[in-house]
Parts: sequence; C-alpha cells; structure tokens
Amino acid sequence: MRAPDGRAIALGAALTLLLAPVASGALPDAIALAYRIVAALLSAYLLWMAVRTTTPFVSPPRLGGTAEAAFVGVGFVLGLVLGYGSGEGSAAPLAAALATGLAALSLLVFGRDPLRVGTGAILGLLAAGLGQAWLTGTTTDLAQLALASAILAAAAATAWLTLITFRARGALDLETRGRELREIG
Amino acid sequence: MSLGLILFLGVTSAGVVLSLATRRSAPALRAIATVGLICCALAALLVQPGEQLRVGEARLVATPYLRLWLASASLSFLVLHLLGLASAWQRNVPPAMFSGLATMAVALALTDHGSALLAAASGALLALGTTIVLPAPVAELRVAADALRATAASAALAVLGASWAVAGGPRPEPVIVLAAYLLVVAALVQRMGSIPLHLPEVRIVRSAPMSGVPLLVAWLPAAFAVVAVSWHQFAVVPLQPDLGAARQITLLIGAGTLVLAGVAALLQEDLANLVGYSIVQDGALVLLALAQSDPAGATAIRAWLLIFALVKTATAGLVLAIGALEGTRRVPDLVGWARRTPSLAIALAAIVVATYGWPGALPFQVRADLIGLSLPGPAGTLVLLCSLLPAIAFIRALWIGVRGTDRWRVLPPVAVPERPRLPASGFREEYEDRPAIVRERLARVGRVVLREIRWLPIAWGANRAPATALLGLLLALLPLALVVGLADLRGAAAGSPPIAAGR
Repeated sequence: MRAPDGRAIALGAALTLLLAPVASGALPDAIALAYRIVAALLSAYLLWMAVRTTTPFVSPPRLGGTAEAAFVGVGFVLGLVLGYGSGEGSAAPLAAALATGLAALSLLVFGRDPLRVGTGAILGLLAAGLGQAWLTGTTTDLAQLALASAILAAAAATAWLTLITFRARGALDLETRGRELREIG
Repeated sequence: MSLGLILFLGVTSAGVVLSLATRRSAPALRAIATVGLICCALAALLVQPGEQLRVGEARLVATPYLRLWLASASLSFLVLHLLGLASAWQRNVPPAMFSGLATMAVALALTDHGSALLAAASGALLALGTTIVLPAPVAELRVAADALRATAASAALAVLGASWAVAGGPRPEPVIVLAAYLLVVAALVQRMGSIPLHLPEVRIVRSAPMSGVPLLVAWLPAAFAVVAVSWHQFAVVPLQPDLGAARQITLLIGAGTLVLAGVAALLQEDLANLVGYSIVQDGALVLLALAQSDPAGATAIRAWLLIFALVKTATAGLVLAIGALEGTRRVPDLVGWARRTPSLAIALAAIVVATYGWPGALPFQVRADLIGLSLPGPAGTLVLLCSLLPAIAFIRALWIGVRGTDRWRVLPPVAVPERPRLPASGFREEYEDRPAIVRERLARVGRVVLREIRWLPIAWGANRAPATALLGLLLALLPLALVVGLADLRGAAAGSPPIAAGR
C-alpha cells in the first residue's frame, strides 16, 4: 500500500490473498481451500503481468504511506480489541477484515492509478469475505468459491485497465481536471 | 435432473473461452459470437423450471423467471451483437456477453444470497473490459476506474449487509437488521447509479461503446437488484422490523432520483446522456421497492427489472444505430432522421410504449404500484408524473426527426418509368392456363429469392444501413413483445425466487 513500486503492490496483494483463508478463522474444506489458493495465485499473476508489461512506477499514496499504514494498523488493533470484547468466536477475522477494509477504503478513495484502485477493489471484496466469515462464524464452500471468483474477476479488470491505461498514456497516472470529466457527462 | 441449466452454463463457458482464444481474429470471433449467442438462446429455452444443481451446501434452482430472463437476455444480446456487426462492433463485447450470461444465470439461480450477489458483481467486473476503445483520453480511463471502484464497493457493502442480517440468528436484534438494510440500500444506490451517486453511471453511458453499455449498466445491475430485492423480501420483511428513518431515507433517495433524473433527462441534447439519465431514473424504482414491505412490491419490481434491462438494451441499440447512420447523437442535429429511417422511428415509439406503457399495461401498472405503495397521495402523483418526463425528451427527439427539412430534399425528383402493361390477349391466355402460369411465377419468385440471397453478403458489405435500421427495430420489438403479453412475465415474477427455496 505504501509502495510507489507496482511490483511491491502486486506482491503485497498476493500475500494478503494467500493468507486470508488462514485469517478467516475456520479453514475451508480442502477443495475450497485449493480453489482459493489457485485463484489467489492467478490473481497475483494477472497483477504481476500488468506491472511487468507496463511500468513499475505508480503514483505515491496521496495521504502519505506512513499515515495510510497507520490507519491499517489501528484498524487491526481495534478489530482485535472489539473481537475479544464481544466474546463471540475468534477476533482474528474481525481484525483482518477491519485492517483490509481500511486499506481498501484508502486505496479506493485516494488511488490515482488503476493498479492502486484495482488493488483497493480486490481488498474490498476480501474484507467483505472476512467480515462475512466473522459475522456468520462459519464459511461455506460456495461462499469461498464465489469470493475467490469475484476477486479473480477484479484482478482481471485491474490488469486490463492497467494495460490499456499504459497503452493510451504511456504512464499509469489518471489525474484529470474537472473540466475533462464534465465534458463526458 | 438439471440438464438445461448445465447446458446453458456449458455453452456460456465455452463461449467465454472460445471468444477469448479467437480475440485476435475478428472473423472467427464474429462467427463464434453469433453461433454462441444463438446456442445460448436455445439452451435458455431448454432450462426447465424446477431443475436443481447442488453446489456444496447451496443449490442452483431454475425458476420460470430465470428461464424467461436468460432467454430474453440471450436473444437481446444476439440482436445487439448483429447490430454491432452492422454498425460499430467491438471485440471485447462478445466475451463480456458470455460471461455476463453465465454470471446472471448463477446469480439468479443460487439459493445463497451472499454468493449470488458476488456472482452478479463478478460479471460486472468482467464486463468493464467493454468500456474503453483505444485511443482513449484520460477522462474515459478515469470513468472506467470509477466504474471499477463503484462495482467493487457495492458488492462488498451488499455481501456484508446480507451476511449481517443472517448473523443474528432467526430473530436478530433490530439494530443489526437496520444496519444490514442500510448497507444493502447503500450498495443499491451505488449499483443502480441513484442520485447523488449517478455521475459514474451517466459518464460510462456517454463514454463507453454503446454495444457494451446495456450489459454494464442495465443487465448486470438489474440481476444484482433482483437478488437484493429477494433478500429484502425473505430476510428482512418477515422480521417486521421498525426501519423508521432508514426507510424514509431510502424513499427520499428513490423519489428524489425519479424527479431529478427526469428533469435532467429533459435538459439533455445528447442522446447518450438522455439514455444515461433515463437508466438512472428507472433504476431508482428498486429503492422504492425496498422502502415498502408489501410482497406485491417485490413481485412488481422483479417484473419491471426484466423490462428495464430489455428496454435499455433497445434504447442503447437505437442510439448506436442513429449514431452510425446519422454521424451524430446530438438531438438538434438530427433533423429529418425519422424520415430517412422510418424503422428506427417506429423503434423509438416502441421503446417509449414499452418503457411507460399505458394505464393497465405492465410497465405503467408497476410504476404506479411501486410509487403508490411507497408514496400515497399527491406526492405520489407528482413523482409518478415526473417519472414520465424522459418520455417527453424521447418524443421531442422523434418530433425533430419527423419535422424539418430533409437533407435530401434539395435533390431533384427521380423520374419513374411507367410500368409496362400486359395486352388483353395475354391476360386471357394467362387466365386460361392458370396452373402453368402459377408454376412459372413461383419459379420466377424462387429465382429472385435465390438471387437476393446470393447478393446478401455483397449488399451487407456495400451498405449496412438497411440492416442497421432493421436490427434496431427488432431490438425495440423484444421488450414490446413482453409488455403485450407474449410471455407470462407477471406469472414468472410472482413465483418464489431461489432464495426462498434455500430458507
């Protein structure tokens, strides 16, 4: 999230996706877990391919990397405190959901390039899945399958948008003036 | 047995794989898309209501509504694809259409609402590939990125909300139901592009190629809304919660969007913007369905959402055809368009009739019921009248097309040679030897038909304007057929959704 290098963003997203099933409390069945891992690797490959064939240079975080990382850290600690305080199930899914959700919020709201926005979309879906696991206390195979597929679709959309942005502009920055957007509608 | 559903999912999956594999070869991709969409329409008709397919703890359940939805979507995509071939085709659209059909089938058949919402969102994320054609200015790229943001955010909010209501057990705390309801409403406001979050929706209609727009802003959001409305009907309404202010806020956003988007549609000079605001306006009816707890409202909105998706596809097709034939989409510059292509004028009239209907017809009744159930009294009447405002804008476009000087009127009239007449004796012979004459005439007709068929590819290559106009008309007749009752949409919408089977 802090990285001004697209490769680090892709690597961070891959690690988060691979560790998420562990953080969701109860591990899913072997087939569902295998599907999640394959989908996570495929998603990471799509992001990596998008960075490798374009440029690793992405715009720096708008709020400042340290501030954004601090938000995520606070979210994680808050999740742990709330989770233990509620006494219902494990606190890890809530902590992971809050941390991932805050990271997603930051990337979605302040992201200025398709790679950051897309990574925010992926983390947003992941946070919803983790939140779902914490709320329901269980995780069904179908929910795992649906979540992994949605993340894969988001990764595909991100990779495509990154490639097309680079082809159109030669860079990944999407900063626009208000007038240009108003001309569209 | 669930052969129909498996067949449909198989055909759409094969369509995705083959269309992606042949993406670099335009002729192969065109052929695969045409044949694939025909197969999808046939496979949709083979889906038998009641079929079930077990996926882990959940099931895929086929309903009459699902069958009607898939058949309408496949047919509509096929005509839109042919229209794209005749006017402005884009190679990213066929894979998005196949993946959209597959994800809609899964979303509308699943008994688990959280997974169904994610399935609908996955289709929308994949459909983002249709939004940009190079060379693209930065503003268009930004619009696509905003669409990615909006789709992911709405999916995350809806999944969280839908899970929250279930988390509290059979009798969750009122505050939990309230929070879940608000999350799903927020997701729908984002997904249907209701005011104040309407700009991404309007901009995507304006900037994206028209052949991909219906999938992105009509079919997939409508499927998402069908699942959300079913969740509300079966997870929230039975609890009889006191939603109080949350319901009022939903009502305010829905009614406000109906009024403001109607006024905005009236002010638009670009046909694409007019389509964008009419989509925003009609999508707000979903919020009115969520603002009341009458089961009639849920049935009405399910019926409406299929008409909505078909009508918006027809409208986008019409704009695509007019843009291709006239070279502009600005209404003031379209003087005489209806006289040059009368079939498109008929198409526009059919679209207006299918969208707004007449007293007693399904679209009008649904609109009046949803507004009446949520907003009784003069306020409801006012909102109902405002919801009809885009019709005036469409009629204005039609009027501009009919009146004014035709750009071809300056040409001198073409002299038509007089038709040769048969001599009286020839007529008598013809009358006496009638069977032979009939045989000869049939043979002549056959020769003409064969000649025309042989000339068809050449005519297609030389001038696609007639095909564009006819396909635009055909696309507009699809929703009209549903409105006049060619299929039992009311009955299909009144049936139990799959989510009810899962509870």
